[in-house]
Amino acid sequence: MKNTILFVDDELINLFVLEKRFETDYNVLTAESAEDALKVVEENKSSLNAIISDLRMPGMDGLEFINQVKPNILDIPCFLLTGYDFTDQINDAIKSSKIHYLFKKPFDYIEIDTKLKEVL
Amino acid sequence: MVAIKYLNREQGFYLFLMMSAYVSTLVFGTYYYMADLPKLYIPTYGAFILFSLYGLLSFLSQIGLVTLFRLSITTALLAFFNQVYYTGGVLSSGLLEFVIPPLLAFFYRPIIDRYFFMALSGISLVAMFILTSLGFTTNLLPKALSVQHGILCAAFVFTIVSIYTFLFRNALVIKNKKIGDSMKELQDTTHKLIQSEKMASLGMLSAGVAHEINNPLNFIKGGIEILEDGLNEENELKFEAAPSIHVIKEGLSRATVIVNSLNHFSRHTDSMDEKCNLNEILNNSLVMLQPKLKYKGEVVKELTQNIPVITGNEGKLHQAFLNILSNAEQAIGKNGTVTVKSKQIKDKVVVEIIDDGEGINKENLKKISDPFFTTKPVGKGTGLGLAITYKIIEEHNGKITVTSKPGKGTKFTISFLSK
Repeated sequence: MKNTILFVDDELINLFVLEKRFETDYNVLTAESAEDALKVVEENKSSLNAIISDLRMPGMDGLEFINQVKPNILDIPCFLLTGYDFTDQINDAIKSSKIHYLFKKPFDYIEIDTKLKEVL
Repeated sequence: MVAIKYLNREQGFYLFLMMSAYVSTLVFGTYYYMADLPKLYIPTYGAFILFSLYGLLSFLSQIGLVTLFRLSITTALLAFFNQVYYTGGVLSSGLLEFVIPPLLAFFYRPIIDRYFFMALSGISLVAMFILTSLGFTTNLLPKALSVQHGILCAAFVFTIVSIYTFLFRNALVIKNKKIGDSMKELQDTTHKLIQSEKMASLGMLSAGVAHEINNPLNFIKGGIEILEDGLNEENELKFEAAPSIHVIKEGLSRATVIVNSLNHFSRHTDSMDEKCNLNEILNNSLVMLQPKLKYKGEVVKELTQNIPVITGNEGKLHQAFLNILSNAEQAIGKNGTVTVKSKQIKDKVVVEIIDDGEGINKENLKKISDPFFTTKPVGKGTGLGLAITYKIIEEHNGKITVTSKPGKGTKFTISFLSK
């Protein structure tokens, strides 16, 4: 049985390549914004295993989104995938174990796959 | 002359006036005394006594310089009038002395006095004409002394006029130079401020730009990996495409290194508890300077693997080392060498950055950590780079020492305690 992961990114191309790259090993869900992602999370509460979100997005950003999801809606491992480096906010989020890990763009499939396998 | 430097213009002027008054009254008085001309030497000595009194007053009382100046000029005018009157009126060789009071008045500030004394001098001259033409004036000088007296008077006038003209000119020149200097300083500082503002906004922007570049890099990486996956079943095609895929991946990894280095320089955190690997920091800084260094000289890296990490702020340390390395890059000429070393000496981690460039002279070496000190032309350097570097190293309880020889090169040694 494949694990289900949700990718959140405001760039459609990012979602496309992530979906294509991960679809052989995972069930991939995508959302173009944090607001859409919240709906996806609600609809897939029972099957969703992990979330990987971009940090900077128009409207709600990645950290806010994860704060809303975890632990109130769903308590699953959450990751950030961002072009930015660590900030104090991210460090705090990692310390309070809201964020499991920060992946940097451009993504490394093996790195993400390894980290996901560790927690799933 | 030395004393004048430390006096203001009016004080210097007055000092000179009094000096020349003492000397000239004494010289003229003695000359007339030796010629046995009481009608000349008594007033001249009298003038000397009056001048001495004024000199004493300027020390003992609160009388302002302006008042003393007025008294002195009036006294001088009276003494001249007496001298000219008894040495032949308008035909006297001392007649030119009437130039002196207006000259003094002209160079003196308060404007009303200036014209008053010019007028007074003019009136004296006219009066002397009238008195001479009416036959009141006499020439007490013996015939044998007339040439000698003429030379003395001419020398006196010449000396006074040249001294005061020189003094006045100098005062003006110094003043103009001072104004020019402060204007230039102001312009330089303005340029530097604009420059540092520019650098600050560039720093702010670079974080956003790095992020934006990472997104397209993400597309490319994802895309190429998907393609590669798809080719797995097509062995022949995969073999043919392999070189192209390799090239794309190589480009991708280079771009990633550059963007990630850029990211390190625009970090926003203020925390001082990050684990910082100095070798990584030096490598990142060298990546940033690569575009400049590549065509200019050589970088020799002697980094000791596995040196202890230090605790601090990674972003700030990146900035500090980039500043030193970038100075080294700017110092070297064509085919120069920048050597970067890292090592552990007992409980210390030491970084050495050595260039074989133009070097820094002794005098400038003392000033390199001063904010806004730069030897670069206006608009090229802000003079803030090393000042910031020193501050950052200090914040990390580090020590920074610089040795330099003009023409030979410069060596920066930065050491931190490893815990």
